[in-house]
Amino acid sequence: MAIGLIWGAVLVYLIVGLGVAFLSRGKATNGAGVDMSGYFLGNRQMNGFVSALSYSATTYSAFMMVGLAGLTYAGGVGAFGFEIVYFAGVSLVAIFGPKFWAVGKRFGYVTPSEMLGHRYADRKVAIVTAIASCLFLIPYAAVQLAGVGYLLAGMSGGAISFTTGVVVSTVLAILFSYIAGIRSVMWTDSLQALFMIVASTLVALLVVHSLGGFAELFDTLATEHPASLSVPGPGLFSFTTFLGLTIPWFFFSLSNPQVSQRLFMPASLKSMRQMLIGFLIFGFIYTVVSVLWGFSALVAFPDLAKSDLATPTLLASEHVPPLLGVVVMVGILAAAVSTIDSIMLTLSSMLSRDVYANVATGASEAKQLKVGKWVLPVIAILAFLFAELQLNLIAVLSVAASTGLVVIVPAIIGAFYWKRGTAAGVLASTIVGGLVVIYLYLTGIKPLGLPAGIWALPISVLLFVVVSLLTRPNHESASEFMRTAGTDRSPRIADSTASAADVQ
Amino acid sequence: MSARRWIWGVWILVLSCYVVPYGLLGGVEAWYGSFLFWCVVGVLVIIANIMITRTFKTGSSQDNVSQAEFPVGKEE
Repeated sequence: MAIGLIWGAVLVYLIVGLGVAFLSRGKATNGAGVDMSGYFLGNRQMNGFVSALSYSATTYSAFMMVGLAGLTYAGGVGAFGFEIVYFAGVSLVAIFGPKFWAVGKRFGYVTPSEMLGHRYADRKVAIVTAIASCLFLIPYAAVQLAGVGYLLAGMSGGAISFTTGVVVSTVLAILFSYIAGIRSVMWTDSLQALFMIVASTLVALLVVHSLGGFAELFDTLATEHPASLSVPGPGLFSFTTFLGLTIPWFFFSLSNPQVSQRLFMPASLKSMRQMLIGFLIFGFIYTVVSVLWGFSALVAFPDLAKSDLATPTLLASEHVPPLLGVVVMVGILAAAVSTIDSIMLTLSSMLSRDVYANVATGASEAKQLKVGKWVLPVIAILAFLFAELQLNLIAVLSVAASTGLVVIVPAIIGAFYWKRGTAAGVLASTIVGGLVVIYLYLTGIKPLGLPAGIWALPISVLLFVVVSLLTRPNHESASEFMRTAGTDRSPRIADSTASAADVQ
Repeated sequence: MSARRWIWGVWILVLSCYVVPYGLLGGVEAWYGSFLFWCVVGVLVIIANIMITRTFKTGSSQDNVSQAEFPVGKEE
């Protein structure tokens, strides 16, 4: 594909994206009295349609069209099942969404870590869960950057280097998140999401048509790659691997703060419903499209050296007109950037709100916001350095990040449903659970032949429960929190006006 | 059907995502095997979520949150 065409498309995308980002500026994010809630949550006034598109663009990224298509190419239909289990896991939003939203409104939480710190009445909980999120999400952001690197390198036949692609997406993410905080992130996300779904669906239909239609595509798969249509299939998706991949991803909507923070933002429950249903419809189409890309690449180019090259090779092939190919390429770039900027924004809010404000006691909202804005580019540079390592199978690395974050899930569920849970239980499950995950990934050890993805959750649940039972809970903060969430039926113990600020 | 039952429906769907493709459909190497099954699960998940959240109203009162799925007494 012509270099000029690729750079031209990136330039148009940059100009339109920056235009939308600047137009999204408002009093809440750029006015004189802007505060943490305004900049990072849009003053909890986001409407359902924008929220749905932004949630979609944040969740679905380079991983889908590069990673999932590559995973389908390498492992067959099991990749589809893996994504559908994740998809079903988003139903957790229907259960926990209204609870996050209610406690967020009542106590003024800006981040999920802040919520946990207040619920368990210990600022160390907020600090540790925020740091754990950074530890695992920066690699996850790097995965997205690497996705762009692979994409641009693959589509240009190597003329645009991997590093150039990573630099371009890092700079775009910084700009989109910095200009108006969550508002510029959500509005650019929305534009990008619409662009992604329309362009990618068109390409999928075109490619499948070019390969003889759906019937022909699946007939060819059944004849030439029959294993790709069942599990375990060609071998990648053994049952234990499938379990190891799906368990962490099932809890993605709770464990990943860049999406769970979104539960604080809708203007009403009706908006939250629109966000959830809109996301599910978007997600289902996008998932099927990504899987079809992987299958199409398998039929058209069965001998690729790397499965991650399935999408770029397909887009650069004669099956896709160059102009449409470059449009989708920008769509994937947009998908990656929209995920990275959300992660950066969330992590900067956590570092300023949960780490800085708890260490520098008495830091004002304005000071927290200033620190948050400084942290943004620092996180981006860290992600950039990680991406430069050029790790091979980006989908697997992405799942490693989710495995790490799943250790926070017991604390989140316990916050709403288990009054007996304690701060010590959260600290033990997060710190020890997180260290176990890191150890298993670093050494490659699989106890009893099971991957880290299977071990992370039971280990953290066990630690959370046992340590909680051995320590004293704070009944007052637990009752107040759970009563607000609607999960505590017991009579009021004592009148309390506790708020998030009380433990900070 | 109550929201609670729809939520249970989702958990059953999730379980079936493991049991059916790796069990019943393990030997079906065609589009109407695991591919079709997971497609159907995806659509059913969307329907279930529409039903689970049908009580999410415009208002922002606490009652909405409670009634959404986990009804509690209105002791406040």
